[in-house]
Amino acid sequence: MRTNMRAAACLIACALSSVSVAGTKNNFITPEARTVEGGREVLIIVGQSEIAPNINISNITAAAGGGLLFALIDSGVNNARAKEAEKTIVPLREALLGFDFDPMAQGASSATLAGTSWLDMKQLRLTKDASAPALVAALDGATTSQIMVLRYEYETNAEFSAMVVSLDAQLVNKAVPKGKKPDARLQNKYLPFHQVLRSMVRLPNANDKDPAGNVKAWSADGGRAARAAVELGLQRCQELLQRSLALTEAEFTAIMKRNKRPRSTIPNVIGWELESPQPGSTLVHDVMTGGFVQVEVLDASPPAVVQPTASATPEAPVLAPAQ
Amino acid sequence: MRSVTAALAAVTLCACVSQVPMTLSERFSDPQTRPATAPRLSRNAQPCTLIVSTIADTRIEPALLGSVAGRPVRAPGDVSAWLRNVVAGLESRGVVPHFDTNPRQETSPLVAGLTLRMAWVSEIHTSKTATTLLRMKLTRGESVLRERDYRGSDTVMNWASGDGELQQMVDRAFGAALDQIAEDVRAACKGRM
Repeated sequence: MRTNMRAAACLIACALSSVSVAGTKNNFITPEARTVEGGREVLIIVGQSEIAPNINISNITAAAGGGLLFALIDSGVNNARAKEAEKTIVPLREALLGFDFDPMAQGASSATLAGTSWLDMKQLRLTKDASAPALVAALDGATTSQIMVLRYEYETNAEFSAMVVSLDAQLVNKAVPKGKKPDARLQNKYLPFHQVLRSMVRLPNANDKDPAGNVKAWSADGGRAARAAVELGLQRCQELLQRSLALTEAEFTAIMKRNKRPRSTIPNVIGWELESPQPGSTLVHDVMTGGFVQVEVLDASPPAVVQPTASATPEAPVLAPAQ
Repeated sequence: MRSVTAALAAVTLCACVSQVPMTLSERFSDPQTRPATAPRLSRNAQPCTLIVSTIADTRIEPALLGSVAGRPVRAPGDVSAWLRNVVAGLESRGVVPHFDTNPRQETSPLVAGLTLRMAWVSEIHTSKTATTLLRMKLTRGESVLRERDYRGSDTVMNWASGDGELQQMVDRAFGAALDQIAEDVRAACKGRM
């Protein structure tokens, strides 16, 4: 009984503490912070071995104003949804066997960072260990005073109607903050740069109420649509990374002000639309993370190629505030 | 005040979720993975003998399975012994595996070459999941009877990312793959393939 109570308390505590904090101003790099002596090593993390599903989280606890019983109900509901999602995604996983995301992420990241000369990229390596102890060990073993950490994830949305590729980009100092423990370096407030970027590529004519049908469409023809969507998502993340690395404080401040921009209509993304370059394609500022989400519908024509050119300018177009 | 208390409680209680890397045991606990409605194996049934010629591991990082709620899950030090113990789990599924030997000196025995293509763990919000993917090439003499992937997975609520719950989850995922493998091998034994 005591074990059960402890476990339940852990669940509630974890749920409460998972709320994102976006108070630190490190979504851009000031010009004086761009150059560091000795350059920067790059660590690419892809923790997963294949595409992951997602679920809509049950929030009965929040709606009811808290309570252990509601937290347990939430956990039970979420577990049932996770089990269902893991079953539903199997045909897509089977179709994507042999689709190796890791080298694609490595190649695309390398090309993007090579195009950002001030970053002065040194050694670049890929790991599947996404844990904090592994990152601390990588920092301790780094030969540069700062490393760039690019953490990739690729998954479906809860309805399986979109492919979501996420990139969590961080600059992490090797030096431990004075009087702090080594893992304090990973805390957001000590990161010189931290940006969360996402690409959501929707299936054309997807039906959010038919997850199995969506999976079938993604998986058809050896997962052709899914492969194209993930590749496009990876490319979008590179474009957003380039723009984020080039952002100035003034530009980011302008983005943070809504200025009557339309609110995001994307589920689970709270923010406002920054750009809509073409019908069905929108760039959204996510206020919870301070990052960007690019949403678009997969073009049924030729699949995207993930090869951002090394010569691509790091000084990407400025995200102009709405008038 | 209430929110401060809640935040403090959250921080304090979250400390109970271990971040210390967990290394899986080489032993395979062989948990019950067949659904209760599945037909039971007859005790008097003639066991099916299988010669396991190879157990290969083609994972990119064989030492790591991933992490659950920030806790790294590592493979046992002796991966070969671990996989052998897992495959030995076929015995409780009506298939007697022999590793690279032919004890009955059968002239045309069933031979399986196994490859572990995937074994990874992750979390989905407050749940955790393990997935395994084993490829089996089943042959008798010169003829290939079957060559396919067998996927096993297990998704359960994550209580505290404890050693026992993580070990059981991975074992159940392997068990689910073994169930399917055993079914095919039994069918081959009966000449239905």
